[in-house]
Amino acid sequence: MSDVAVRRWLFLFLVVLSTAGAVFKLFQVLRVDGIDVLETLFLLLFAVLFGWVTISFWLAVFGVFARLTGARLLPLVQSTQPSSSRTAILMPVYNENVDRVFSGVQAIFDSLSGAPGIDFFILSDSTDPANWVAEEVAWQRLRQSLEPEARIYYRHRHRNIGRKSGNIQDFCENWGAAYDYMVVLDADSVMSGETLGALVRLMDANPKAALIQAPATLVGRATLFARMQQFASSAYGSTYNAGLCWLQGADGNYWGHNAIIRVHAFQSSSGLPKLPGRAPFGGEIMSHDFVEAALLLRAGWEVWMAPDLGGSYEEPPPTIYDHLKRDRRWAQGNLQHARVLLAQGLKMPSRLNMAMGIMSYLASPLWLLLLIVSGLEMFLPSGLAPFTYLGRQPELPLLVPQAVPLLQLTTATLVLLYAPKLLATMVLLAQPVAVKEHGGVGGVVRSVLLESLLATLFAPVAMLAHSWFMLNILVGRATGWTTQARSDRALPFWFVVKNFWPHTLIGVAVTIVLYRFAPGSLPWFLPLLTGLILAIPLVEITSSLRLGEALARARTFLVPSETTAIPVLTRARQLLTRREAVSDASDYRDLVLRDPAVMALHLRLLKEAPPLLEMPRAQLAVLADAARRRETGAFTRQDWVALLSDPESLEAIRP
Amino acid sequence: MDRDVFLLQGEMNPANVPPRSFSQMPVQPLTSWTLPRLAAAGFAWLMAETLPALPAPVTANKRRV
Repeated sequence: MSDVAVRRWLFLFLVVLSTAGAVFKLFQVLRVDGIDVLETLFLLLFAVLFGWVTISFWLAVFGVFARLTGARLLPLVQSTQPSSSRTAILMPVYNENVDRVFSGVQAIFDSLSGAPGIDFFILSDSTDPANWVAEEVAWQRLRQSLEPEARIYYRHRHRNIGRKSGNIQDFCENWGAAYDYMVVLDADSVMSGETLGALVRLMDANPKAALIQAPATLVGRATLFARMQQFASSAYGSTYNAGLCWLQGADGNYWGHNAIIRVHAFQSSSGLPKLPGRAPFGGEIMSHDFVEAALLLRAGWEVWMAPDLGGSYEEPPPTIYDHLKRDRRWAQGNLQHARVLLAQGLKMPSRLNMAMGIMSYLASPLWLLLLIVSGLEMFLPSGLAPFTYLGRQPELPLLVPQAVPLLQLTTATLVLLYAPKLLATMVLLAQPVAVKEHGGVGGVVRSVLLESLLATLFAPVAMLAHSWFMLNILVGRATGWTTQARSDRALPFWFVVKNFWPHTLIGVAVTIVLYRFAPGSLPWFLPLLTGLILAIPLVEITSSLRLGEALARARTFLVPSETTAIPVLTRARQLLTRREAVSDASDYRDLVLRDPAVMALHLRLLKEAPPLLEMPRAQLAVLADAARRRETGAFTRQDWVALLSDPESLEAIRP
Repeated sequence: MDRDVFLLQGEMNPANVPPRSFSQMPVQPLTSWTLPRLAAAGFAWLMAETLPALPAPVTANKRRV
């Protein structure tokens, strides 16, 4: 039996054993006065949720073990020969902040310092005409600032068929044959030249590897919430990734970006089908990455994670609101995997990855249900007169007589919930350099405590939000694919109130009901209710830029990207600052009509794109006429797109 | 707006994207599985069983651009 198989068996054994132990203990407690329907439901929900928490716990334990024993997490060698392979670095963009995208691309380009065989593709799916033209201008300016042989290409699709995966597929179908590997980025991701070089050498030396994921560290944001996530990702992420990597071996996963992919493997085995039926369950596969990795594995390729390569970065959402907005999309994408989960031929790790993805959102409504069931139990008359709880409080949430096992179970749950953070912190504290980079021992301890507190308060807010998302998805309300907020922003107070009053209201209402009818059990629910009642100030305060910066000065939530100079990130930041300083608030759509050079560029690029003919000629003529007279005020987005996509009309009104 | 009316100075760069060479990406079917097979796959995973054969590379038409 291979090493990885031994580890998987052990992991399975530990998860099953600890879950079974806890469930049996609860069963013993519940059966004292006979188990009714509600209690059976409670037991079932408890089993699922406890098992879920147990998985994270043992994953962290495995991670700690792998880290402390210095296990070789990526057992692949890098080629020592100079690489003759060709790599395309793909930056898919969809109405993103243009300055940010191009600063990132340029920083990566500079970091590669002319490494041969690497080309860049900016693959735009932008539907906003102002973004589209701004990207063209930014691309042209970037090209002008580099040597003529710099290979940075720009491609715009008129229709974003298949969203991001469709965008990548379009690249593969048109230019894939010219490249051995592609590195897929996200609009806010940055990778160092060194890391990219290492990934290429790894692929060169391991022809069976189809994909190597370089897990991204969160960097670059300054709000309190973002800095908290950055700290968590930096302090705990490495241990968690180590555990995952150690268990999955060559059966890894793809997280959508910051990964190198063998083009012909991807092209021959990862074409996504359209799922039958309507959205949200049918239609295009939204969370394409897991499915693409599953298809690669199904075809016999290896998918690896390189947890210790470093040099792979992305930005976290700036606020809780943005985080939840992204979760809404991810929840739908992950839930859709239920349709793929049992597809023929997939390997078990792929199925598990998808199941865990589903569970990470399904856990919320299940938890809510567990709370509701335990609440109902409290109000229903019990067969036996309740025993006293530790001799004092007669109103227990479960009306069960055995306080000690119940207390043991609660403690066990708390340990499982918080131990992963604690274990990861221990691993961090064992590395003097890392401790220094995270603000010293005091800084680490302070950050972990504050992070745990804020995460605890945030948990019930996320639970309610996720449950709401699930409900919406199950009744068939699909979500669109909007651009993510990627810059620091403090949320306006009324905006927060508008979005989070239901959380507060539910928190207050439940508190009143409990206080009135079951005051004894109120303390049990208090940690959850506090988070809900404080939802509005919590969201508001954690979106604060000033507070984020103040905490940085107080050496809290410090991460290596803030305490040490990482050249590629410094460069990206410099370039962004420089771009933002000179960028004007020009309406780039209008600029096409006014600036002959922009018009010429736009027309040149249009020639390379397949034509878009959605509007009748006569209507286009009316638009062109209005544009000539500079009367574009009443143009809709569709009008602009139609006009800017039609070379004939543009030629006619060329300035 | 007044500051930067003419955004692009100097020559425009020549080629934008390299020439396309279309080769379709085949859609992979995802048909549902039966329980016994699923169980067998579970066992295969735990045993970290060897993999099926790799598909033939499609790089025969690989061109350098």
